[in-house]
Amino acid sequence: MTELPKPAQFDAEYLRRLKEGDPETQKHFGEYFGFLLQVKLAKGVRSWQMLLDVRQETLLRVLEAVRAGDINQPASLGAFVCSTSNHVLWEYRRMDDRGLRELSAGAPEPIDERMEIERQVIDRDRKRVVESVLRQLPPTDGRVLRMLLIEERGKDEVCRELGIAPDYLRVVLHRAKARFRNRIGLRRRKAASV
Amino acid sequence: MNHLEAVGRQAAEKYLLDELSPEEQLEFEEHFFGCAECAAEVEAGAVFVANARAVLSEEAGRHAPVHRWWMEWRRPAWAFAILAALLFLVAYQELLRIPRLRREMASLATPRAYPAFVLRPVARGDDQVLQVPSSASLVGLSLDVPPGAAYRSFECQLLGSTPLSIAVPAPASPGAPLNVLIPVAQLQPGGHTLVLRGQTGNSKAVELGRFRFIVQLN
Repeated sequence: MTELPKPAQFDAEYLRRLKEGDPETQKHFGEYFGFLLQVKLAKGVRSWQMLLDVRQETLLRVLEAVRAGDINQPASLGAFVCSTSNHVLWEYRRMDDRGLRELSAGAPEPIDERMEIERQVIDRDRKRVVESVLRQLPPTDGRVLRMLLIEERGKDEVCRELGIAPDYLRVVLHRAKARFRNRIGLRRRKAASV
Repeated sequence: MNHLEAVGRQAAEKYLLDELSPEEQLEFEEHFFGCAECAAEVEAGAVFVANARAVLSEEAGRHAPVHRWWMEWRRPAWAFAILAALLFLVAYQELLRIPRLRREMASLATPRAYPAFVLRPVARGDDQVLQVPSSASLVGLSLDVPPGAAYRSFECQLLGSTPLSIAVPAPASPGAPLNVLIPVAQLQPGGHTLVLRGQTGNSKAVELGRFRFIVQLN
């Protein structure tokens, strides 16, 4: 689950193919929503394993609902996936809380698995693009990203230290992300045309 | 939340920077799961952040100063500890050790008398008793060298728990006694044995005699 596949037209035809078990459509469904769920769940789970479980359970439940004909509006498929994941996450959190309570008070804290989650989307090509994007950023922007991502400084602290407005953080991320997206898009188009 | 609202509020950036309230977050998630454009924005941001974190971490690792154990002393906590230890050492040297050494040097430069004894070889009878004044710091011992071969040098070895060995050059005139000075601290009250060895050339030293004596401090 390292990349968001091309978006599809979530219409009656897509829903029909999904309901009938078309392998291509099922693959697209799993990859597209699997990636979005990964991004979403990374903010709410305690471990990489929990993320995998919740993602899997969500996709299964949505597929069951599609097969049972419970989705009447094809355009709302995305919203349905999202709300299903909220329910599943809530259930898993409850189970997890119960499990944690049953553990002794001295049990170790769950480890920070952010790196494991992020590792799924890190690769050499992307790093190379990121390196060139970072090189071309104004020095302040590079410093902002370094302070936020590596030094893990609070946003208020970063703004205070660099004398910038809080909105500027979003501008930095937006600019860097836009350049990254353009270059990645360019590479994909080049690769497709070869 | 519709697409225009999401774009106008920079929702994708806020989402990635955790700047949305829980309600806004749910709203935006529901939106981008159904909006291909916003989903692509979120994807690009998440992928960029993950890869940028990896790149910047590697750079930070490359530029971090190499840690060497012997540079630990430069850290403030170690520097204070080392400074304190040095101050203690200087104070110890200045207040105790150096004055004592000065006193010892001064006493060596001052003329003074010391008790001296002529030792008898063991064969000549009972252990010899040496009455040493407790105030003395050195004791002179004089030993007769048995007649015979000409020795280039001698060695006097005081046996005991902490053996003491003294190299003695041959006296200027043949047959003259050997004289050695021994610190009283090395002569605990009680019995002692001193072994005299002679060295003729490159051969092994030859034992010339043993001197047994009893030290009594008074």
